[in-house]
Amino acid sequence: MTVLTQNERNWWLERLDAAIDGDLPEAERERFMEMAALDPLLADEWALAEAMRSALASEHVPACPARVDAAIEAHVRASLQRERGGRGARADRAPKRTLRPAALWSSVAAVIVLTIVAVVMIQPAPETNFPAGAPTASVDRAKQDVQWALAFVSDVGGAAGHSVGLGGGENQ
Amino acid sequence: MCVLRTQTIFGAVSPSAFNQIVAYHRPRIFALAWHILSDREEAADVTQTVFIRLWDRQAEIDMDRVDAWLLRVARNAAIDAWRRRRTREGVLSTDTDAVEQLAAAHQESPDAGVASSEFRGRLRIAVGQLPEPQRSIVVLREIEGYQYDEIADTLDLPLNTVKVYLHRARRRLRETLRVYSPENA
Repeated sequence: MTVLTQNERNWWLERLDAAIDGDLPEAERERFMEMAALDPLLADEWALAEAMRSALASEHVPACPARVDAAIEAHVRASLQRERGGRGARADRAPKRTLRPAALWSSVAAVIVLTIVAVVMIQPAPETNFPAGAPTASVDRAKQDVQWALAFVSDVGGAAGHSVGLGGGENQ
Repeated sequence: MCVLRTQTIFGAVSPSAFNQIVAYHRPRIFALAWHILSDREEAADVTQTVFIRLWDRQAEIDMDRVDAWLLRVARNAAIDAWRRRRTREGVLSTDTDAVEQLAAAHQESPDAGVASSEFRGRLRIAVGQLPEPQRSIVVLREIEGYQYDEIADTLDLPLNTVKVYLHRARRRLRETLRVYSPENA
């Protein structure tokens, strides 16, 4: 027995999806089920929609073949090997643009020492009352400072693989 | 969900992070391809293609939305494979042989007693005959259980459009299957 007009049934059929998805408000869902109990055509649509949803939701999926993982892994490995090979070749071709930290520090220290030595040697000797050729205390102290500085730089340079000296024996 | 948010540096994905992505997403990608293609080997090929493409194009991909990217690429690859096969073999007919062929491809799960084998076969045929994107929406929503907003994101469609397509697809499936409903089968 059909109790709904076509328009009424269509109105409820428009709500079938929401009813299936559980999106209808509780009161409206109860009303929907009442209508479905009264109207066989609406009940058929409901039953069919439920059967479809249930059948699709329980579809069986076979296991993914193991060859998929193996192929993906092989591709990634090959890609990484190509990348490493390319990077190595680029590194071989590229000029060395950077200094190692130890070499950099020894160079800076050598510049400082040479600057000190130059300043000390360029400065005119102060006039003194001592006889010519007699070392003053300040000159001795300056020479000692230079020796200490050279010894320090030489020590730092030695640790870095370099040695620094005046090459002429300034303290003979 | 993105498992890689903290494991990418400047768009580069480490091999271990990539393995995590593959392990997490492979079942769903394979299932999607399987439901579109109904062929295990073809679905495996699609799955493999999708993840290899992900690795090769990782710099171009927003890893925060890798889920949607994977589904979109898998769906497109599966549809391409399906079209190639259809061109190769001719349009799939809806005769009894086709139903049996599909039923054989899909092994029945032990708890799948809610519908008859014939009803399931007809349903698969009917889903396979839906136009795109209705078919993909049905697969993603009814089989894979995705939310509407996830489907909209995956297919790059407005949310309401997804709902309209699904509504039409369900109505079309009911019209096709009315005589094969479990009560009538």
